[in-house]
Amino acid sequence: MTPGASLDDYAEIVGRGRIDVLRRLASRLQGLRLVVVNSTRVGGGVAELLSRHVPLFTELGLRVRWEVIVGAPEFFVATKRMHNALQGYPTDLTKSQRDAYVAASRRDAERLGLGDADVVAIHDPQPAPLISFGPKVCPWIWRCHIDASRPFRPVWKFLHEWVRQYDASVFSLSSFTRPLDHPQFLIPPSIDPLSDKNAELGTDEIDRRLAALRIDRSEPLLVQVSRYDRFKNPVGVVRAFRRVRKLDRCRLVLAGGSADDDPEGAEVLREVLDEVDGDPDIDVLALPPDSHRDINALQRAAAIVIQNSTKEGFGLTVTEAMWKGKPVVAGAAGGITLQVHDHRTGFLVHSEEGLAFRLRYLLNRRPLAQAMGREGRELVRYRFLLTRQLRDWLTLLLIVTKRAGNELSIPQK
Amino acid sequence: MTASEMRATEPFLFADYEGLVVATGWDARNLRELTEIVRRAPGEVIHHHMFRAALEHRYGTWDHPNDFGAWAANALGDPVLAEKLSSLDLFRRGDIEDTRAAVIEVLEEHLDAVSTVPWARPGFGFHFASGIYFALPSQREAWTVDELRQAIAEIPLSSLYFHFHEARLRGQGDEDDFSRWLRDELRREDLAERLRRIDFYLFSLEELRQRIVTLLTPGFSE
Repeated sequence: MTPGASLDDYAEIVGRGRIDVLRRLASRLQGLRLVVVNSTRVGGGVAELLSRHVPLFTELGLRVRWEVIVGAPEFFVATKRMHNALQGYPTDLTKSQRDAYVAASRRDAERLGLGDADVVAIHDPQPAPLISFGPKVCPWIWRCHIDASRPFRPVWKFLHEWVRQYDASVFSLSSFTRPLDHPQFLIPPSIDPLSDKNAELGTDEIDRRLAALRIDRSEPLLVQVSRYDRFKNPVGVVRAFRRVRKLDRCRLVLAGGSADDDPEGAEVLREVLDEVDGDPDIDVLALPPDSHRDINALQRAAAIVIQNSTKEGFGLTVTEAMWKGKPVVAGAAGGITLQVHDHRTGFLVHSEEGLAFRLRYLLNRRPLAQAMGREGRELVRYRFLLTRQLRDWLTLLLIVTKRAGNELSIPQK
Repeated sequence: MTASEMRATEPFLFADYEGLVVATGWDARNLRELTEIVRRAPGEVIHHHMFRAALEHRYGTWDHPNDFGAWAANALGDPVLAEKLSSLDLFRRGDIEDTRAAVIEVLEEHLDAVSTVPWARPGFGFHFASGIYFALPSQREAWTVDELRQAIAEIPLSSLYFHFHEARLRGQGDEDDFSRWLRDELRREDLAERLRRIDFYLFSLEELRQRIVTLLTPGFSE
């Protein structure tokens, strides 16, 4: 992460023109009092996102206040359970968990002083009931980062009581949305090109980090970076690799979290190691959560990046690999289908056989693989970098505050 | 002073074109569902999928200039339907109901001709959307052909879309904003005619940008 990165730093990557657009949009939002609320300042994708957005919005002239809802332990048990239920896991909240969930917002509404905001943006379900416990004098936006398309219904109905009071909601993908009476805007996630995970690395650093991880680079590397999760199908990757290696020289690296606090992850990691069975051409890495530069180096050292998901959110590891100019062979799931386009940026596959076939296809067409990598990088530059997400948020703020002028156009002849 | 340095009385004012996609909640998993939703969706939804597809990043060349054609090719794996939908050059077709009718005609004709309803491959349902878009002054202006060319080389692609594609839906006649300005302000009917003749529906926005810049370069000859 580059905590002090300014808009000018991003201009070197995306071009001055795109930064100028941000400034022009923000010129209509000078002094806008935006309050964003989520459930934590550190850890997790949302906190990471806000920690970049808040200073950049401030640099653009908005008055941003980032608040965090405070809850008792039972509140976090409830919201974790709610998170799982919204993703379809059939688990309900007990009466006391529902009470703890609502009580946190009731208690914090006064402390947070949301009555002096011009726009309130609430991230995810944890602070959603705040809307019921304070003066609602401005537009309220609910930003849902979760795939809520097939939720466990009792929990969704409970949450819906608050969500329906919002003026607009924001989802990452069309397929993540729920039927709601207010507008549902689509803002895809993004990666930060200046973060440790995505910043340019010198050859020396890549060499040093791979050496420290004891990665043999004598053959082209096939790399999957993903937590050890059955929906990422790492065992399937190992099996596909064995098909490839019968015919083509290459090595496989699977890199995921250490899974210390994730019992299911530890179980999947064991399954992977059983499948690998000491194969010297396969490295299985369990890395600590702050290994961003190691992950960066592994992705940059790869010949091809794999993301063998059978179920996926947006698939930001695919975005990261494409930003590093790598062709990607990936399962056709979730947001991966927006990023991986057959014969353009990589290949979508639906089976172990398909994965093996496309890996062989690319290993034997290195110039084509490199050309796909270049296309992927440009796709990410255009659609999936942090600056595009800032632009979308500025646009959203102009829409909900009606500061876009009267030029709102829905063109018809 | 060369012809490309001649100054206009009124400058060309560039606009930024910004907006967001709005989900409708309507999904189609097969061709019949798609047809039914196309029949009843608001005009803005049809507009979004037929015209704003150009705003999506596309690669060097693109085969399917609207979302329905791309879906037929990529999700249904149906090249015949994809060809027919992609051939509907609807920026020149009049109002959005004419556009809708033309799309429905292609879809129904195809449904009549096939023995089973084509289904999308898993994960490739068609998610209907619309958009809220607006134009804002960009503070950039051009007084000469040279300045116009230079600005077109640098403006955001969404701005190019607004002045070249959407202009035809806003204004009278099949004309983009650049051609109109070149003709009315600089009396350069020759350049205006060159731009009008671009078969723009086939181009990605980046390709279109390169094409326009080339056509406005002094000494260009076809």
